Amino acid sequence: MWLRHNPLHYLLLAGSLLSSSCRAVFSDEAFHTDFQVQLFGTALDPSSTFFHQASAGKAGSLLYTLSNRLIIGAINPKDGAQVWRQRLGEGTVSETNDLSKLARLRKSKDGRVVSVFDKAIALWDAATGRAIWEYSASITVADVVTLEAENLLVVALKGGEVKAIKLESGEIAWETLVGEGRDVASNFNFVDGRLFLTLSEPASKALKTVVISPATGAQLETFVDGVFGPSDTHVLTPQLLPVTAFRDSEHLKLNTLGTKNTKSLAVDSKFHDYRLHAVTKDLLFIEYWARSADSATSWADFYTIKDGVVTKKVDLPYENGISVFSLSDTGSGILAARVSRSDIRIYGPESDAQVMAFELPSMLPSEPIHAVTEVVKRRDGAIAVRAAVTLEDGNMVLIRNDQVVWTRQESLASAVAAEFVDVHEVEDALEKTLHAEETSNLVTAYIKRVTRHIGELKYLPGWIAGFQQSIMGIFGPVAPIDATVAKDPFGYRKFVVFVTRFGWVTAIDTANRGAVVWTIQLRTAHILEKDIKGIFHFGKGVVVVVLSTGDIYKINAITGRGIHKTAVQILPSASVMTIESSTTDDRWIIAVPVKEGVKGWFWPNDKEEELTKALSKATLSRKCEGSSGICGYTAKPTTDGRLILTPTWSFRLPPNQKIVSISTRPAHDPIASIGKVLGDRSVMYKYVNPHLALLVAAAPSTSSIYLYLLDTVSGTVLHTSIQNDADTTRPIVATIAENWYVYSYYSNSVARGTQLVVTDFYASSTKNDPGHLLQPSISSYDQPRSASPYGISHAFIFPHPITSLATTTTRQGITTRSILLSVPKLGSLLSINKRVLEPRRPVGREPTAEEKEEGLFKYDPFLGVDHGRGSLSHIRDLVGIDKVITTPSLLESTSIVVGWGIDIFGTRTSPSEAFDVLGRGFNKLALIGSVLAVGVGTMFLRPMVRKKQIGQRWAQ
Amino acid sequence: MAPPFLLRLTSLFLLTILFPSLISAVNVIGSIKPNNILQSLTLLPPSTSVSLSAGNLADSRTSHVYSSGAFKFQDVKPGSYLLEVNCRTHLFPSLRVDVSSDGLVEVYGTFRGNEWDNKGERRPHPIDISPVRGSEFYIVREGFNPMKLLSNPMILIAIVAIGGMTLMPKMVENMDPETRAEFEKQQQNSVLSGGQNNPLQSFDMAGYLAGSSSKPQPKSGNGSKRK
Repeated sequence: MWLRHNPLHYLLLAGSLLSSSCRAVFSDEAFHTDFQVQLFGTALDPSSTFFHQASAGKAGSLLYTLSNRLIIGAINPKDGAQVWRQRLGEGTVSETNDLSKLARLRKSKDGRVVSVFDKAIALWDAATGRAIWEYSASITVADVVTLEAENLLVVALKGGEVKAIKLESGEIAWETLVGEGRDVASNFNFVDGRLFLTLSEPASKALKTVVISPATGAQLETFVDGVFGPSDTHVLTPQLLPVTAFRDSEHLKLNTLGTKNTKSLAVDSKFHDYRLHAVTKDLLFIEYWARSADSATSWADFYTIKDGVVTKKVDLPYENGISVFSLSDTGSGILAARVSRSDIRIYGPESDAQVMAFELPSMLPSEPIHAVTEVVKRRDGAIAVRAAVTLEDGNMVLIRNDQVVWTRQESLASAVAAEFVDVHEVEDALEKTLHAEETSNLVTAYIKRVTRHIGELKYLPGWIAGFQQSIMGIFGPVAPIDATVAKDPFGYRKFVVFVTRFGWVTAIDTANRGAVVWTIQLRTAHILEKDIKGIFHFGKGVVVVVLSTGDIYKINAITGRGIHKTAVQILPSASVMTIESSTTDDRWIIAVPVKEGVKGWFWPNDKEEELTKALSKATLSRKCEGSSGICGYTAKPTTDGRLILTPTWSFRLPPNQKIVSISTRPAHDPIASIGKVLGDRSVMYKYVNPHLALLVAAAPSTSSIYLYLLDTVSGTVLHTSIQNDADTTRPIVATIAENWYVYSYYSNSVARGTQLVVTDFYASSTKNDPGHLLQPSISSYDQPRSASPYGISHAFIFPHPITSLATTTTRQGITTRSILLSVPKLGSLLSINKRVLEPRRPVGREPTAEEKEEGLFKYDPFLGVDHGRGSLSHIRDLVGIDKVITTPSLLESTSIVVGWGIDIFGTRTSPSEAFDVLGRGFNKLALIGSVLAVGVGTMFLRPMVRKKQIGQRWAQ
Repeated sequence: MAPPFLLRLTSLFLLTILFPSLISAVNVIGSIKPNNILQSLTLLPPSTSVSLSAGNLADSRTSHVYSSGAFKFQDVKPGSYLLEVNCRTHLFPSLRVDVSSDGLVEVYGTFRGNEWDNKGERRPHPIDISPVRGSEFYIVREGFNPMKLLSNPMILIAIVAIGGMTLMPKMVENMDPETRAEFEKQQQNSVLSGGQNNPLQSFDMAGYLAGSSSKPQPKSGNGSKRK
């Protein structure tokens, strides 16, 4: 069944093509054929996002932010461009952690910012983003405060240790331990040169505050602020307020530091949440909100703090709707800004009447979550505002007065799934149209053709523009034409559809530098990686998103319109996959529940006969119930979209092994040549099997990893390999394609470091032995034991950890593959040609003439990073690219690559050079010039030669 | 006097129990020094970091390169580590750092792809490290270069051949009649000119260039000679 063509045909073709040189990026293509969407992620907390002067004394401030992906950095507020970025931690946080308690970004002295994440503290140059120093504490940091006069950064650790670090050098100036290590520190307040540290005593359920001398660290005074009830928790207060706070379910209690004055405010925390703001020590601003969809409310109050007494001054109007508040003091008075989806209103601390209102020309795409603002009151009384607003869809917008100046698509940094959509497949199904014209009668064919031509007139303006451009292009580089109006003859234009954690689906255009094409909201508030079952391209520009709740969204990926939403009763733990009909265009989503004996589901639940046919040739597999391993089933559809599942095989791991990953060959993985022609003209036949799955398992107790190559139809183990001395805590990644797999792990063996191992599978260890490959029909079931593939391996040492592996794919599979490696330590996406990762490279000797002819060269265990040959991202700094997806273009030479995670990086790569397209280096001027020169030369020579010939004739 | 002293003593005791790592803490420090490959530290990307990799991930450390070029690993446990500079734009040598239990730090060169015990020369402890090579990211496309074209061996052979073709008749003319007759005889007998009629040889290039639409000349044994 696998072979329909004469294999020799392919052998000839593959042997004749392709030089082994692999080249990465031409200097004239860099930044033109690739794009990068530089992202920070969604701003985590309003206290960690602020406008701040980049260097002391200079006018103009930058917008600093700390994101939910633990990126800190600066954004130019004028145009939204990134100034610098740094990543905190090594990306080791799970997505459910409450990061706002662990991570924070604060202003410091002299154009510096200080970041805290868990145990790590770092001081950064606010203008360049370079680290000044770093300090790693022994336990989690509770709070930090910069003491400008003393030139110190004081750090409180959760256990009550307090350390003062010199801002200039990062050395410890003094340290002290508050409360014998039993108390939990939470919050600094620094008022009038007095440093207060608030700690909760879990034993006595009391909240106490210690006054610490900023110069020496001596503990001057201790007082108890209030007694905790069993349900009380401490509330963090702004550092410049002389107030500490705690809450129970019905009250917010404000205690003035150093006194017994406690003000109790009634807030029902079941419905309402609140946030404390302050810009001076005598004014407290509290905003309250409820965000539930049916009863969204918001209001805010101003309080004054005078002589240790907190009194309410003004309450800003209560509204049924979501709005967020921000307090700003730019030297011209304290003003509060209220940002809602449609307007910004400014209030003063004196009255509840608004000072100014800015109506936005159009509603924001979604509700605001929090905002930071700068409100300036000019001398003439005019008010100007700029607000950096984080929206519910995860993006950030900057509003200046009544205009949205820029939008940053930060939600894409929180993508949980991505899939390519072919645009050309939808735009020109030309092949089918022509076929239809051929088969119909003359008149209808003519009418069809004319209507098609009229339809294609829409491309005419774009074509004329493009023609003009290409003429101009002869004489020098031109601006790229707008990709949305031009036709895409090479299939470079793809949409990548992302599902984000915020419950939105967004598509970007690879031909238009990753610009957002459309965005649509799913009716779910938050999606984590575990909540999404998959995103599937259903052909004809339709994508289907399946959530673990059983919701299925069918979306037109070209227009971004939702076509259909439906729900099936998928169990959250079910495995979801798609199945294609071999004869028609139909596709189905199949859900296989984990529980044995439960029926599965399929959707759309029609065309059962077609599905029965498609399923009769397939075996579904998923992780087994209870133990770790894979189980295989055959399925038969019944009514109402249910599937009867019959277990056929199972592969269970020993109890000490756990699954790291399961990879299968890509959906589009053509094998152009079924054999490899050796230098002596003999052939090694590849092990060709479309049902391969690679299961990687780790056994931490024995520090080994196991690789099982399975046949997913019969469940047969085709090949096993074991690596001992492996570090199972570091990333283990694998990719499988054609007849080989590549994996990477960290080895603690004598050759210490990251290793990259390649294994190729051949039908037989002997030459010219195709095994069962050339039989007219092959089944996974009747493979004899002796038919197991012959695998050969090579391991390479790679200098940096690899977090993701992928393979390029091309239309016919003739082009050599490249392995794509995401290397976060370099911030690069590298590509290594499969010809380098070739297990047949001779070890310890120079290749013979025959091996040289085959393209083999001497094996070198150390695989260095060669940016010139291997870097797809060249000088770009990629942050957090941990997933790489590839798709073929219409050109055989070219594969389209998109990496995502935090940044989005897209490029196209030609592993065997661009043999079917003229590159930018093609000199049209020289070509036309030489044609003209030959023409002119002929014109000159003609009369001369004629004269000579006539002369010759006469001379005879 | 006594209570604060006791308090401090207990706190010290607690510190010792809670954070034993503080006691055996060793700091590994060093800095990146500019050289003629890296003219200034400001040329390094701000994201450049230095990593100290141990056998397990928990003992491994990473430090940013500070604006002074320095880097610092706090509280390094005894063991054998691989020190690498993670930099895209410049290539640095890898080092082996051995921290003994008495806090001694030994630094050696190391050779990747060899056994771990294969140490290089010993280096001083506050580590000074400089790049050995800058990264080349781009391939420059080769434009039209007449000198390169002329140095191509195929072109050189062609030039010699053309030169021979133009010079040969003149040389033949200058020969004395006897040798000339002998030469012409040899030419007639040679494999190149005799034998089969090569259709390419009978192609009348001059006639084509002259635009004559005349029929091909009747073949007279040798296409190149016309009598």
